[in-house]
Amino acid sequence: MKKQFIYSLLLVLLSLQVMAQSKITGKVTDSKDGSGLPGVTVAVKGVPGGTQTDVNGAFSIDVADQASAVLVFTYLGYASQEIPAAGKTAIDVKLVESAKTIDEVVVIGYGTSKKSDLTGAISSVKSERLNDRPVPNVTQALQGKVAGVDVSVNSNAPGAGAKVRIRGIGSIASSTDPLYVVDGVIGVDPNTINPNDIASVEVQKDATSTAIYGVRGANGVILVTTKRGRTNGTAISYEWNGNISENYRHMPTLNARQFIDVYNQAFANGAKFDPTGQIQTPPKALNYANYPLLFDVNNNPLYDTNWEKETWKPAFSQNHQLNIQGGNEQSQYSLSLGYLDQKGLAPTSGFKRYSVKVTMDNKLKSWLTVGGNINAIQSRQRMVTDGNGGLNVPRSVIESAPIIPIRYPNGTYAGSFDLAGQEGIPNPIHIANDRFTLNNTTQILGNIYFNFKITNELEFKTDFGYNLNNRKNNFYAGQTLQHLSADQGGIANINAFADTYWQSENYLTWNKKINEKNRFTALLGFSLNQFSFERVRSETQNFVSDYTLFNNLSAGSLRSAAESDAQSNQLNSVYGRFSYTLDEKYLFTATGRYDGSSRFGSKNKFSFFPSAGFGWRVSQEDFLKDNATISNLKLRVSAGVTGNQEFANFRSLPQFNTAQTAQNGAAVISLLPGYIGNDDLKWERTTQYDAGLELGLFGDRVNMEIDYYNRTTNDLLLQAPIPWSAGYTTSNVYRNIGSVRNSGFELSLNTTNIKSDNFQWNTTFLATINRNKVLKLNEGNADIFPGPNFLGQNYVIRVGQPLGSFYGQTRLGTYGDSPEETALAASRGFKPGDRKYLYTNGQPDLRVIGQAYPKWTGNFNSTMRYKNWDFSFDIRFVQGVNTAANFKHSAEDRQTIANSLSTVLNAWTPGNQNTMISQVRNYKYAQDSKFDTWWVEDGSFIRGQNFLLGYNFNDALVKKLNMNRLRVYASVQNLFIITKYTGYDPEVDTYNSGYGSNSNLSQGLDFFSIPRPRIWNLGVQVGF
Amino acid sequence: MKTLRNIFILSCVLLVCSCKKFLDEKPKGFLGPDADLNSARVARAFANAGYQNLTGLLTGQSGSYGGNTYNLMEFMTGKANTDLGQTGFINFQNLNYNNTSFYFDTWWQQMYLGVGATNLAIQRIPGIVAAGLTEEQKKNMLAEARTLRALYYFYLVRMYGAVPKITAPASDITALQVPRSPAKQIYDEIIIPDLLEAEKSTLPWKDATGKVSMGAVKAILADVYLTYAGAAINGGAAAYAESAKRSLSVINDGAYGLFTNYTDMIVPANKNTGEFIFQVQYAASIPITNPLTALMVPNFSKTSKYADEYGSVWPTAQFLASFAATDKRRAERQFFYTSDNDINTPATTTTFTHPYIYKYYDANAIKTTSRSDLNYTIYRTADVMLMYAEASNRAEGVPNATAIGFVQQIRNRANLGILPALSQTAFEEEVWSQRYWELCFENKMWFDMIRTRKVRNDVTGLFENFVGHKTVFNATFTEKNLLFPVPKQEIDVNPKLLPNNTGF
Repeated sequence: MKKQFIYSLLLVLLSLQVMAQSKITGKVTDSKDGSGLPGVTVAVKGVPGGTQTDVNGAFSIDVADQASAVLVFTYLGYASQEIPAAGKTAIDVKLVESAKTIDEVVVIGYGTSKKSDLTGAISSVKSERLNDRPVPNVTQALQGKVAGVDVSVNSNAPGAGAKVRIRGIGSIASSTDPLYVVDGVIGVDPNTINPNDIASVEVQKDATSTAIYGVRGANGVILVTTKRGRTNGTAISYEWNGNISENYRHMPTLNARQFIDVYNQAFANGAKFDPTGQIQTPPKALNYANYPLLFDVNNNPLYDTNWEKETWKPAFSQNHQLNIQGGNEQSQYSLSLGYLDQKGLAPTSGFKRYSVKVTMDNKLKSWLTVGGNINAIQSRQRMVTDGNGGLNVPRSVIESAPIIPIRYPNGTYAGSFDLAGQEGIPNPIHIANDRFTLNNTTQILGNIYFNFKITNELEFKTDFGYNLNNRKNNFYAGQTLQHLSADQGGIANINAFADTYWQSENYLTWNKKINEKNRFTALLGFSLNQFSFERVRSETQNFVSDYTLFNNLSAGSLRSAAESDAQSNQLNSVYGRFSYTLDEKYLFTATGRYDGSSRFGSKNKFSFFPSAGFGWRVSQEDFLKDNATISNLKLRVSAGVTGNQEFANFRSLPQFNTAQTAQNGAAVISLLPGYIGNDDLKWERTTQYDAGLELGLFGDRVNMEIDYYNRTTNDLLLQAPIPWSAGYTTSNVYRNIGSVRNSGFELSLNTTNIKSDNFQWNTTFLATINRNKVLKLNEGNADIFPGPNFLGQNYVIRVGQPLGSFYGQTRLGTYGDSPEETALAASRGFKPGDRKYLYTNGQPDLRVIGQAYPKWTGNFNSTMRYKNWDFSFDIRFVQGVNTAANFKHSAEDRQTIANSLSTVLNAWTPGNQNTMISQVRNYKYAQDSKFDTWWVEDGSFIRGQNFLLGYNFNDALVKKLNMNRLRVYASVQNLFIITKYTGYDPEVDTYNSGYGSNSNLSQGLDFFSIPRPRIWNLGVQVGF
Repeated sequence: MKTLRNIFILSCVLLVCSCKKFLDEKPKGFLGPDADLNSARVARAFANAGYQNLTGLLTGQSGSYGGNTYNLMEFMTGKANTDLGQTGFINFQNLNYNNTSFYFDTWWQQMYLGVGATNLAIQRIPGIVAAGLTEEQKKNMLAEARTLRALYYFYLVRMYGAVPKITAPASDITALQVPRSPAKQIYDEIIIPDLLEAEKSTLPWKDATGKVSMGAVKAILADVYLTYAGAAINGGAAAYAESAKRSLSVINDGAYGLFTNYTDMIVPANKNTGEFIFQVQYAASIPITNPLTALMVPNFSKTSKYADEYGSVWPTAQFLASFAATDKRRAERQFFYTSDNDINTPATTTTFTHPYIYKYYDANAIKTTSRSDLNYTIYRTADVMLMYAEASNRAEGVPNATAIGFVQQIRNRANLGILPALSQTAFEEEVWSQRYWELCFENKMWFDMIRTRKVRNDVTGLFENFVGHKTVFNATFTEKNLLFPVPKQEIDVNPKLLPNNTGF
């Protein structure tokens, strides 16, 4: 059998050779500038195979039956041409660049569709645009590229993912991350994959597009399609870029002299605030006698360390990428290799990723195509900034005393712990070197599929996808880090996770053209999938030496933790879609998915998610068909229901907790009430309506797309606090607490401003306006305080207000020392120089004082090409948002135990009473520090996201080098930011920034962050 | 070919549809409601849980640095000071605290976690039928759990007055907002019945492993009745007699006596023995360690292995001066110390600017391991002796010989002279004074102050009424200070707790 097959294959190949009859040659050129187009596919219509043009655009093809043969010339981005071959031996063709985006094919759930056939709101980003900036992952790459998609890069640690929110946040306790589908594998963390492997990203925003993903569709779906092989020979491309990151924003702190002055003044002021009026003195005066290592004999400080400058150092990163794509009509393959070495501004921080991807698609039989891909990724992230609120590097930069050096002359680290009475944070260089986490990831991701062509119209595809992810996070903190790990004699722990995901997706697709006016596509599928994970964590302390780090846990004398866990969850689903096109004018789509989820309680295991969409291509109507101005006009509406199940397993079940209790000098196990459980737990359902307008003018030189959406999430899930008196160690429970609505407009406007042979200029403007409103809260619409509670509740959930409403006091200024002011202050237990808050009814006023999510965001992109040069830039707008500078508590209200921001130089004094900063004093009588309007700042900004200048070497040179493409470019990211925010960057969330975490209510909280670097980048792209 | 194709497709379809139990889920990583809980080990684990939150007596305050639930009870007395501003000291120094101030939330949370754990044990243990678990063992485990539940509630009512009465684990999340019940009702319906029930058990008089003993049950009951008789509840003279009966039984039937030396109390080997009746358990080897050892080391003195030397609580000069000059307890390295060796150069002695507390000085932890192995004492014999002296004096109208003898034992250890004959009132004040000195910085003083509604003026030596007493920080106690505010964070979740206590 096998032998026969090979013989027949050989015969076929031979016959192709001997049947050669006539040869046609020619050249394919660009209609615009006449330059040769390499890689154009030239084929005889109806005959498999074909050839492609060489680097100069020349081709040569053998034609069997010249009289009736028609040559087809196809090239991505250009309109195809068909030319009859009869009587010709040479054919020269000019291809015209296609402006019509409506012919574009986009990826949708379980299939593809022509953009013109869509009834839903889907935005597509192609590789070139996606990768126009060197960033480590696709979520960062998406920033500013799709209307309606808010991407916040909240952490500037190397390798960090971004927070992606599509059309606002519609949940609190469940994830609001979109569902990512990578080459059909559902629920993949997209941040681990190499963004350079991606061919396109399709963002599915409205219900008719997302309902096919049912219980996982409520946050929108992002389909990632990676690069695959080609049907027309081999293409090799290589790209290198290298860049330097530098800090360009500053948070001025006190220098050595100012630090000493403020320190002494604070103690001098202390008696005023001591109820008994006692003179306050430092534990040890700052002088030579007490600190001979820090002062000269004249009591002048020996050091004046600028910690910001010493810590945030320029860092060099680079990226190599090699792609090989090849194949023919029968089989295609691709191979890509990537290497990323990203360094962060924080010393020793970095991210390295090695990636390999292989794809294969093989037409084994006329009725069977088999293929698949394997994507193997290994990455290692070195993090030095874990633990919000802890004594970490960014905090140490601001709080370390400037009179301390990095190291003493004898080589030992210095630190604020050397000063009596300081909180004693080790210096940032010390922390970065001696305390870190290595996050190691090994991931294998991919799928295998069989595609059966049952008839010409009916196909069945069975697709087995998998994602195996092993994560091992190694942590060590050294013995010399006072207040962190010195008492413990060094701390090492290892957290290891093994995640296994598999899916079996099986679906029938029926493409039926009934007649010229009626056609439809029907899809019916079923799927099974399972995600399981295992976790183990071990920790030991008290090591003989720092030398072995976490590599020999048994070298520590104290076994402080040994934990493990195992969980899994499953989905079993049936889904379908029916798309009907009538007369190329009227488009109907209906989808439905019936999901069974193991996370649902036994009563609620199954749920149905329907949607419907309608489109009207007005420009196809007779009255518009040949209109000179309007080249495309389409109206569409859709409605549907989607769900959200992305939160922890077992949340409806009560749980016991085990704990260690001391008894008789040893540990015994206790069984405690752990989690109360909620039998009535229901699942969030989101109903979304969408209306869209697509307009093309002047031959589609102006393309506009506007969408209005309205999505209401009912049975909103909240990890709601429960009274402590309930006695459960987990003092919250997952509850359905109400409804929230997101509504807004999205605009995408693309214009070709100038289009001539030598000069083209395109601009794209994206804008999104989102309004979020809590519609209902159970139990009488009472306010809910979801936490965090940092010197007061930071957020409130209140009917009529958006999710992410900051809540706190209003700072009016400071109490003066006039008799009236003194009396007013005294009546509230304060003194002149203390801060003055707004009071209502004799109580400090608490109200909504800001919003963590922006009113509108926008992005302006412009691309200009002049001959071989191109220049583009991106400017991003985020407006109507607040950022809470929680670091002001630590850096403005704690003189004498840490260094302060230089804003305290403007503190209240009898001669400077008109100020927001209260009088400095020793920390024993510290300021009345509360989450307030002084911290919640205007977080709006305009950022110079990217500026890029590129040059394509001309053909002659490129050919001489045996290449078909040579391009160099230089770019700069984050060239400028215009903002009133006083922290490093208003786009921040230090409480929670990871993918998959429920970070909906920590956006905009800044408790010491790493500055966002400006990145100077150089790159080369070579094609063979 | 076509047949092959169809078979292939069909088998794929069948493969998909063949998994039936696919969506069932069973937790593997924790004990859920379906787990088999019928074993002697499980019963013991439920009983153990009651001890877990005794560490709540020494729990760090979130948001503070060096602040601990312990601090509150000392800061309130006006006889303590601190090296640390981040303990929120000033709010207590000037009595200007409110319902968001430190410690009120943590105390509330920790005590109710204890209530939750003991409620679970009391609910579950009776139903467990397992080999090797006798009815007597079950009864004694229940006695442990009831004693601990009573103790947690005893802290709650003394601190907050009326509190939610919760006697079974909550399971209905719509019924979690429980209003407050008057303190007297909590005493009458939980604290006293629980302890009386525990008294009927066959728990041993002493338990060297640190579990509840009959000595502990009676010591707590003695304290409960004494407090019940006091100003907050005014439970009547009978309660004094009930109290005296228990405290006398501890000494006579339980054979508890005093340590010879005060420093015997800071020897880890003496844990749960000798004078100690009931302690919070710590063990350096686990490590679940006593935080007070580091908290009491003078701030930044470099005399210990601890990176964090807090100086979190120390005595005011006036309180120290109130001890008699000859009182051994005030002598160096008895209850206080004024100097220690430098940790890096032990030959150098560092003298502190004022005395610090020596009661939690675990020498091995301080000089070598930075892990304290000391327990924290809730009841010890000296306390119970003084309870007897006070209660019997009230019950009988005059001090009896046993009462005088107990006070004399405590005076003897302090190198104080023979007690002269005293009137009932004078004897009571002598007992109260001894409580101030003997039990100082053991979290007893504040409860004595609100129980007796009297405060010893350290300067004049006179007992003044609580309301109107001016501390050495020029702050004056008012009615408002008799009860702590219910924490705001709890009220946010359970508005039925309103109204808050007077003044908040």
